[in-house]
Amino acid sequence: MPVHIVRLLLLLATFLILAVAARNYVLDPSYYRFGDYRSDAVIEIAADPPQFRGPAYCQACHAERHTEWTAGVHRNVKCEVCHGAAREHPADGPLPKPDDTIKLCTVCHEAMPTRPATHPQIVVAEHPVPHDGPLQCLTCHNPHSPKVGGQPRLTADQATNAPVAAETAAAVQLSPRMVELTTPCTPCHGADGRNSAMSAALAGGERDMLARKLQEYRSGALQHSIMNAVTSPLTDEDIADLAEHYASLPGGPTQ
Amino acid sequence: MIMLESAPFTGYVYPNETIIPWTLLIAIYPYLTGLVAGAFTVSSLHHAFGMERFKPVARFALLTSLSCMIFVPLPLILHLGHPERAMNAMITPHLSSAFAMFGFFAAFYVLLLLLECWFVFRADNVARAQSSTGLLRAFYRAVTLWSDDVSAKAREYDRKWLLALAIIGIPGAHGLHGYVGFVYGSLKSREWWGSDLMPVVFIFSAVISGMALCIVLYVFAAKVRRVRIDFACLKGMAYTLWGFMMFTLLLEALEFANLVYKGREGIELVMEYVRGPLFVRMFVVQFGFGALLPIGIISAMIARDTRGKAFVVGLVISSLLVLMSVFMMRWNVVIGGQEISKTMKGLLTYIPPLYGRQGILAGIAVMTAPFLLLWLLTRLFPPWGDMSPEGSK
Amino acid sequence: MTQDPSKDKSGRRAFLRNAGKALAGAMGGGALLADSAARDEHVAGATGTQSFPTEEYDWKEHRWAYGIDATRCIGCLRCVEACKTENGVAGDAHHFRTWVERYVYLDGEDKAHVDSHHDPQNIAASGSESEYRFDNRYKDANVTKAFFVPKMCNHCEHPSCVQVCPVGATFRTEDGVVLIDKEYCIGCEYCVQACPYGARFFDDETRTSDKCTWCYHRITKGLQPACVEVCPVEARIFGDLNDPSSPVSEFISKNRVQVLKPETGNAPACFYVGLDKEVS
Repeated sequence: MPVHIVRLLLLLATFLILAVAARNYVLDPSYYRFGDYRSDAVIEIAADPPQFRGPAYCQACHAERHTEWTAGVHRNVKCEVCHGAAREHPADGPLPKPDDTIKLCTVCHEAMPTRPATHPQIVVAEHPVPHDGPLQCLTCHNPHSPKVGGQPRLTADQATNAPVAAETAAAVQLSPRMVELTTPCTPCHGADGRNSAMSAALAGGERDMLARKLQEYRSGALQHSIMNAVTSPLTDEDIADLAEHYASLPGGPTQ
Repeated sequence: MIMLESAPFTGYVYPNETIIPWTLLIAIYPYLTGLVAGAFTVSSLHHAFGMERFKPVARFALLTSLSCMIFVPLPLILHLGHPERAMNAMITPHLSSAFAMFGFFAAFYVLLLLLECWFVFRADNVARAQSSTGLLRAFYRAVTLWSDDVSAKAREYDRKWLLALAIIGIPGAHGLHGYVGFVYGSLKSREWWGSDLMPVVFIFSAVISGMALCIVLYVFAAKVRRVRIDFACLKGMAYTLWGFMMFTLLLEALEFANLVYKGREGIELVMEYVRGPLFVRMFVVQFGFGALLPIGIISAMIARDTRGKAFVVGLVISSLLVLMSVFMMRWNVVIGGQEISKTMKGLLTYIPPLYGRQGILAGIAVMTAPFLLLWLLTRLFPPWGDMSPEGSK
Repeated sequence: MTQDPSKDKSGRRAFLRNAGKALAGAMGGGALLADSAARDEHVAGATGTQSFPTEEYDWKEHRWAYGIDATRCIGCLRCVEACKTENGVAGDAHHFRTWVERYVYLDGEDKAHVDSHHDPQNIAASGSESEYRFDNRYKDANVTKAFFVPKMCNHCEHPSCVQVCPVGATFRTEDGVVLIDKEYCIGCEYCVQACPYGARFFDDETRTSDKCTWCYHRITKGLQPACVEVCPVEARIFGDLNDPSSPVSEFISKNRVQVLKPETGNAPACFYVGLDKEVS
């Protein structure tokens, strides 16, 4: 064989040997272990820390809130859905409390013709009564147990800041007629008429004053979109009975 | 890294589709491998099939093929998210992947091209080693592996090796480019791509693009060097181009007809796309100006037995049109396929950026580089000994 | 060389030829041996009783699957945001490991209107590209039928993406999850093209492909994927097919389930209830 062919073959052979050797040198040892992939990758991926910790994690410190939550209709809405992923909380600080509840709650509850009809939905501008201007959901609803008439609403400082303090509504015996009449009042004024954080305290108020206020709201002399709306169907007898009822309730405003 | 601009869309597309993955560079890549395959085919007409008529252009076509092949990986490297890991495809090739097979095909084919060039130019290089001095002499000595054997026996070996390489090179070149068509044709995720005919269409359009390029470069080189053009060679290339063009057009039409005829789910959207954004790009540019017109020109010239300068002009114009149409075909397949959403309910629009790794300027650079290399190679390894009828090895 | 070519079998030429053959043989054999020895070494440790990938979790014991009840989905998109939080996905409207599609039929029309989070009107409704909600554009329209369909990687049994990956950076685990090796992926995006469901995308930060992993880092710790965790209406169901009492096993056994694009032959592992003719 001519010498240039020999040298060519030797050159090719050398290149091939070097290539194979280099390949075996750089080949990751965990490759081909279970298949055509680097098995170490599975270990690396599995080792990532979770960001969402789950309600059981929250329960450890927020037991009362957790109990309130599991008893209510929002028990399928996990804590971190609204408060964000716990990550390293409490080590990295408190979790945010949503301030724009209209924006947050309507993500699930805005009435859309595209949502299943069985899902509770509201038209924001008409809930609970027609109104313009923002009416934050927390005004009437406890986000951890939002069904009205169930758990009491959050107080002002609960809604923005402070640790949980359990409140229990006083049990009040009412006739069916009074139940019906006070239903629109309870969400804002409390079943005991004492919740003053977001509305006037009615309990123990002067009966005539209460009646006069109701009349002024009904006539429109006093302007308040919700009060105007809830008082508009009231008869004079209704107003008298309501005023009587709240005047008779014990105590003044809470805290 | 700058995120590619999200593509505007109509109808409904999957959210992840709004960033178009395969861009201008990925349309250029099959164009380059096509030129490689086509130029190699021209060279093989002489080196493998022994057709003397093509001897004047054979070595030049080989260098053209090599120049394009050297730059074939460049658009891919520019596109990869991790170009430094590109060798993973050769360290742990996943054998079910067409791309993995590319790594080996390409490496094998580069080697084959280098070997073939080495053999073709060996005798000339030995002569140059003996006649030059200094650095150039050292260069040629190294290139010839410090051998100056040009005896009849050595040349017999060379001839056999050359023949073997040329023969192996034909499936090699077409495999290299055909697999690109296979990459698209084998995917079931896109209606526009998934076709059994795709590899065949790619191969045939590659051959015509390479032939057209050889014609253009051959004429250009002859003009620059002020030598006579070998008309037998040129006309031979014209005939070959003409024949392959008609067949390519037929295949492309067949592929499109197949798609329309099957009328699978989503065909309304495909037709909306074809009649809309694609119409000018495909029917006017690719088929009209790019195929029917050059076929018409060459047919007319052959029918009227046109000769001389008119023939050269007509042929060069036709070849340039073919080069444009084959690029358009790559664009229409690669980009067009991604402009039709996988939902079959929407269309996207890809607009290449000007700057950036995957922009128009980068594309121009990638397309220009092989010709700069070709110029350099023709200086180091002049293929011209064959170009004029008087010259011989 | 001055020898007579007819004296083929003698002298230097024969020696060189034989030496060449021997050398080639040795090289080839050596290379193969080295390669297979290297492999044997790795496999030997693996097929034993060692728990993989962690001490507490052995992938051989599980066969994960996912269920989606599209009749329950309310399109709140808490899943989409939770996934982005959990997995660090880019906070824009063009990269999603999971997304929800809305299908709406209006009175008098046969074809559904479909939209998702990359729709400019929906982006305007949430106010930013990193928060997601559907706008209420149909509130005054005459809607005859409408529903939401959550989508994500289907973790197919015969994944097209795994087939086409040139380097083996994406693969299917023994417990049925298709993962991506971010340290090995070269970012060629062949897998992005091959996926019929549009589930994969290019992650600009890691410059590799990315997609839903069924929160592999969570399920190997006994947790649920983040999307399943946060869904308030139990539209997303996850579990172990090896456990007949798991939520997904019950979901599949109690419902007529479908998969997306069955004609691909990919055999997805996400099972749907409540699909419609227009869902693609």
